[in-house]
Amino acid sequence: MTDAFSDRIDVHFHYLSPEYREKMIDAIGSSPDGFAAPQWSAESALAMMERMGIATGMLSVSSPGVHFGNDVRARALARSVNEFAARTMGDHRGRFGGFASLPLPDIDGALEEIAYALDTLKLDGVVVLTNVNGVYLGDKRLDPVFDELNRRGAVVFIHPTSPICWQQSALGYPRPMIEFTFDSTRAVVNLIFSGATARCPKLRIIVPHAGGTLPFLARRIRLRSALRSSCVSSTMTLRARPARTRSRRYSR
Amino acid sequence: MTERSHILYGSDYVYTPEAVVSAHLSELLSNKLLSPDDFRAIGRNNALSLFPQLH
Repeated sequence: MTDAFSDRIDVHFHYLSPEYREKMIDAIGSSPDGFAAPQWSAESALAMMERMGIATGMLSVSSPGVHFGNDVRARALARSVNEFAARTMGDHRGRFGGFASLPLPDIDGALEEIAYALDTLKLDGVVVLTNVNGVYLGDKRLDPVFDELNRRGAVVFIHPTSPICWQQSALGYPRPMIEFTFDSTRAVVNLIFSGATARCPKLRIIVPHAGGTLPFLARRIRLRSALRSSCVSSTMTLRARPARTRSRRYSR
Repeated sequence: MTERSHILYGSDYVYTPEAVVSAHLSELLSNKLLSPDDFRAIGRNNALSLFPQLH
């Protein structure tokens, strides 16, 4: 495809190494996020890129990432997918870049993988999910990782995943349809209001899917943030009331 | 929301099949609000400023 827009660099370009696909399916089944895990090969990706006028695809592992509950296995899987990306980049020079997967929420493992993937493998940045087990980007527990990425001026590709409440909220639809865009919204709002983006000004953040629902909600978020202290106290009041009611009921 | 220098192209391949990638591209390219320079920026140059090693 030749047009005003050819020789594209595609920053949202997913791969699944054969080992990743197998281990992910072993861990959580063949439809993560309610969506069948596709097959991937460099050859079919390159053929598609040729037809679509994409010069370079920036490889990233999508949701559900590499951590399925065990830190040791997550570290090994992050290492394996990152080495696969680096090999693919080396085999097809100029056609692929790569974002490193991190074994979050394992902080020490993530720090180790940042150093290996960016210094040794020379990947182009990192991919992080919007939340891991309900811990959202911007959470204090992730500060060591964000501080290190900031120190390096790293490019951080944020990718949405299912929120932990998806069983109640997804209404049986594949989570990429609605939940993902809202999870991007949550993560970005929390990155800003937690102070993480102000603390880490050298980060260069890519938010896919046109920012999720942020373009629609930006004005509302800005207006509400001006009233933030009252929002917090009213939220606490709302939460406290049913809890008190419950405890009274149970104590009678 | 953002500036044109902060807009990048992303297909979401391999989860988005090629036919949909193609349809999205056709739709994007028919956008009359974007100039040829905007398309160059979104399709390539903005990404090159993030990844100068791709030059």
